[in-house]
Amino acid sequence: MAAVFFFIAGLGAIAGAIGVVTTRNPFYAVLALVGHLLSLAALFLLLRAEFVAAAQVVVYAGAVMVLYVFVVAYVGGQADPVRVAGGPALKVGAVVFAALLAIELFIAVLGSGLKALDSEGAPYEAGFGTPGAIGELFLTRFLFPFEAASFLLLIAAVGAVVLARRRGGLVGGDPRDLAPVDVPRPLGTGTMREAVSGQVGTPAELAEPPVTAPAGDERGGW
Amino acid sequence: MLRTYLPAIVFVGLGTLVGAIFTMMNSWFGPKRKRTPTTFKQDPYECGLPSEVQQGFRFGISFYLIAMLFILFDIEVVFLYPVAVQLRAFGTFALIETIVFIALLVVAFVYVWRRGALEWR
Amino acid sequence: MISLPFADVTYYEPWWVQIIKAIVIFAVGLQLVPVVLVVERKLLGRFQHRYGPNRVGPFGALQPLADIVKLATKEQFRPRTSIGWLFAIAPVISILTAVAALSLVPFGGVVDIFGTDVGLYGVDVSIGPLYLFAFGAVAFYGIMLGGWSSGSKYSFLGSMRAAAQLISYEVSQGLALVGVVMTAGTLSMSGIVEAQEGMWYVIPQFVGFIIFLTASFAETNRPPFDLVEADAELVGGYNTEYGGGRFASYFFAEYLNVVVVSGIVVTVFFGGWLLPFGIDTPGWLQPFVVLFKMTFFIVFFIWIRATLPRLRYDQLMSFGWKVLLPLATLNALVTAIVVVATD
Repeated sequence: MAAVFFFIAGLGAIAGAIGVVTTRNPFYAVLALVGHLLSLAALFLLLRAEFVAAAQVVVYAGAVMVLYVFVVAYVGGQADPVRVAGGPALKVGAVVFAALLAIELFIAVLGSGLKALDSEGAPYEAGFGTPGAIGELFLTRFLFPFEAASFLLLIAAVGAVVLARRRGGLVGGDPRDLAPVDVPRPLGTGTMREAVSGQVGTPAELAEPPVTAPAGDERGGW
Repeated sequence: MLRTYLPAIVFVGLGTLVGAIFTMMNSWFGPKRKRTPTTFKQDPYECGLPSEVQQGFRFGISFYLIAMLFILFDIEVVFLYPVAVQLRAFGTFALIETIVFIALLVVAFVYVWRRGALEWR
Repeated sequence: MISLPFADVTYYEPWWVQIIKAIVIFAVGLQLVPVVLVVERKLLGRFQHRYGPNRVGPFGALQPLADIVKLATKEQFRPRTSIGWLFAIAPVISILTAVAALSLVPFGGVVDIFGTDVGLYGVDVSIGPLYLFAFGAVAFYGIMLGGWSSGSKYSFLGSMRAAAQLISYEVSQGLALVGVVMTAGTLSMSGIVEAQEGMWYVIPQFVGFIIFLTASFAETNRPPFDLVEADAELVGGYNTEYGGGRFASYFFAEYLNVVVVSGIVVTVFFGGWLLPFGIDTPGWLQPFVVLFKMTFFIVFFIWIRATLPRLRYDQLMSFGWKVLLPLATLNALVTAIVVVATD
């Protein structure tokens, strides 16, 4: 059962990753990346890392990819497919670096992963991967990274605002702020009611008798 | 792990089934037209005068900024949950760590607010 | 095949019980949606001094049946500018995330049914609310794809607005629950309910409750936060181009989300299946207690719809970021201090 899910999720992850680099339309590339990230979350779940799986979906698929979607919308949606930037040097460089990365991964897998094939795998402790266990680790072993994350988020916030300002997105205060006081509209300055009825006056002065259902209306009742 | 989540998988399967039925039911029960529909029918919805705005139009920087800030605070929330679970167990120590964590984000929040990034335009 | 030391943490039943209970909960949730629909139209009618549906069946009770028959017999159609497969998939995503979120609502504890111990919930996972937010994150793509693949500017604009609204209120929704998690010391839904023996969290976590409820209105696109649909400005928002069954599935997802959110509010703040004053709830009564409590919140959703006008878009955004978010942060801080101080 677990093997079936592993292969579904694994194939999904690979297909998503291939989709990201092969589709030309930026929106489809973003969607492929979302599919890839969801498959990764499923793999984490199979590894019993519940919290990491949930965080993967909430933070990556739910937040980071939202930013990507907005960026795609900001630079102009489906109208123009991505043009390949850079010359032949970039293409050669990309292939070389991809090959190097692949070799590195193979070394890592062959060097350590295959030896573990016949073993029982890492021992499983009760509560592994639950938020409680993660919280304990945050407060003991990974205390510094936990607090550093907060600091990094602060820097990121500053960075986002600075970038937006450079783009001319933020200038001065907003003149369209809500009026501090609600000033009642003077009579005869164009409310919908005045336009329709041709009469000028406060609603109370113009009040009409309430509409009541005629007696014996057969549609009535619950 | 899978066993705990088995009902969730069943739910997702059932949801997909219902969704697929809803999506396809017009093909089964709906009227079938042989002729291709007219251009006017195939057009996307339009109201009033035909407008110049095309579908690929650009969106304001506000969307981008809001999404950026959302990432920050979303990570904050996700980080806070595990620590919140352990708050009682670790007592004062966890409290201090939580306060430091939130305080740094409050600084970020105040900065963002003062810089006008929360004004929608 | 090597046998791995599988030792599951949380209790679970035999696999066939799990599948049966999932189907039962799903069927109940499915049946609730048309009921909510007709109750809403009936109540809205009464709130607005008209009758509401009263022609189909007794008191108009069969109205949803008539609606679905009508929607099912529409022509399958999509505009020329749309992208076929995405246009078809988007409503499915919306509905499947709503259904999956339903599995988190616990309708009772672990009870003995014909000699088998059955937990009256879909899943009781250690990540609790994060499970809900994870599916909420996927639901975002249902709306976004629907709007984008229609190839209509109204739909696209509507879905962009929806996206910004959803993310703005998700933070407050998540933060509002941090206080509860601190008090309960667990994220498991049934754990949170059991921690409420003695006092429901609505009393110590009242601010959290208000924030969560408000943010939930925005997350489910219900008035006064229904800017996503905003009939008057966006001619229907992201589902402008949809008709027939596909439109129905967006609608269905929205109402199912209302049911789910009511269930979560009841679970987290109103003691789930617990009765007040420490009265012991027998096992068979527990689902009915939960459903009874949920009814209040479903009606509350309808009541608010009939009462409050829609916000303007910039008001909506500043309310989420400048009011709810600081309030939720403050609530988390104060709760942390109180929990540690009183422990």
